[in-house]
Amino acid sequence: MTADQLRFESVLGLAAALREGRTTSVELVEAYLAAADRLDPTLGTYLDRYDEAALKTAAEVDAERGSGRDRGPLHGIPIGVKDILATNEGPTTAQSLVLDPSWGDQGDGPVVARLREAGAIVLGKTTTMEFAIGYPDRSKPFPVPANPWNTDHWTGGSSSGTGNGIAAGLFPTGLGSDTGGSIRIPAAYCGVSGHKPTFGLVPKSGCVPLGFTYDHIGPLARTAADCAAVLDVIAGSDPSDPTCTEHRGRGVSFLEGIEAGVAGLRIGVARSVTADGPFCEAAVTACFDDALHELANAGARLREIEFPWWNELHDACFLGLQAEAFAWHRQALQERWDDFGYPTRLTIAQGALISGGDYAQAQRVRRTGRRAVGALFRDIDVLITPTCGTVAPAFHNASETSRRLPSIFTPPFNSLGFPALAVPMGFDPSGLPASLQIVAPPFADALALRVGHAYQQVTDWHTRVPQLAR
Amino acid sequence: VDDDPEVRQTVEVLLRVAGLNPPAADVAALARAYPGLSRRIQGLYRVPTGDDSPALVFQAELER
Repeated sequence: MTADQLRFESVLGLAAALREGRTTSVELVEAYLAAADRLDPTLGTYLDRYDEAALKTAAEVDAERGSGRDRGPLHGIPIGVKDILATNEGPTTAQSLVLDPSWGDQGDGPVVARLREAGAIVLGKTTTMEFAIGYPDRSKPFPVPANPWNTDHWTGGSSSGTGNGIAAGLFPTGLGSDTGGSIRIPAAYCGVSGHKPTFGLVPKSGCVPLGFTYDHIGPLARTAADCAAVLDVIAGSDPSDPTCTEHRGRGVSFLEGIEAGVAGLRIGVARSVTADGPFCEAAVTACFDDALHELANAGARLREIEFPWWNELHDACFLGLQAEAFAWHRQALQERWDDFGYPTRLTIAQGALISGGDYAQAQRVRRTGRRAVGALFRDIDVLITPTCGTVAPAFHNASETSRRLPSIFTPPFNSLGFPALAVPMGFDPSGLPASLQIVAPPFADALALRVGHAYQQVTDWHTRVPQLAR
Repeated sequence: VDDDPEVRQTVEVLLRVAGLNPPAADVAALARAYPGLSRRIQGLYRVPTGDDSPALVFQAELER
């Protein structure tokens, strides 16, 4: 198999190929970069590429492997990094004209540093929505990421370039951030896997903040097991992030036990507020029903649950993050309003319309909601929903937020801080991917990943490749 | 509702208090969004939050 044919292999598959000498990191980097030369002008995956540095690092890790050193499954694996995370190679823009160019001068944040230490090779910085919020904006001088399954459609945001890059075989995994669904939505729309960890599991310093109490950094990859492999490396406290819990030390393995399957697991199905609600398309509901069937066949015990305060937890996410984002951006909005893109400035400026008391109430709803939703987990092990009620919207519909926002089923879990994994669960009749969301109680990330992996053992949606990318 | 002068005035005042001076078209867009925003805010008060404290992060100890 050539390195180009390996472009769509999983991280763990590539790790095996590297260990067995079937390829080298240099060959992989060359193949991914050649694919990017061909596809990036159409897909808008990259804001910046580090070809020279990546090839140099690849040669170094190949030499290391040749001398017998093995740093683990990410040793020699190329990655993409969303351009709101600081890296050593170059500046961070957050896809904005506004961000101070000196932001990120300190270089790698802890998550990128950990990946690098594990042997990962940073290929470049990937596109986002400006400051990780909003929808595509062609008025500013940045690439607009397109969906590899149909380039007239959006990738979803905001970890857009990481999502479409994995789907198109430009790298096998990468980093995103998720404040209201920004890992899971592009994962869903692009047909890949993405994991929002438990809040406090992964340090978020070195990431341009959006909503301080809602932001999460996490992996996107082809498979749940690949997400686990990345999480193994990036999880664990760091003194630079006081919201990251110290009692969850590094060294916890999310891959260990991932093969345990779902037989006997109690899976709560939150369908009345999602799959059976007014914001879910029939094709997505059909895919969801098929997913339930597969999980039941694999031995899971399914039961429908009533999810408390769904709409309020949805709103508590957006209202709270808008208030927090406004706090961070207030001065820049005062001084450089027009330099912000239209979707970004309007979304964040709404934070000025939310009172202090209302913000505090949003935070109280989160606490009450955590208790109510946490109580569900006395009777279930995980809960599932579709990740989004629609497939990727066409670009001309992407700005219709009043209809689109209720159709994304991710924000309640940012309000709650619970771990949530998105995995591909089929396609609509037009050939666009649908996605399954698997939610676990706090710090039970391994359980969500285990269920996702079990589902991917009995389905092949995660192996599908867009025609354009072949 | 979109053209409600009272809504527009409320939004203009709140923006001014925040030190923002957007162009008229953006103020109009924010005024169109405001009724929905208000409804979502009112919804937060439907939740029986009792004596629950906000889920904010405040470190009692000095950060390193």
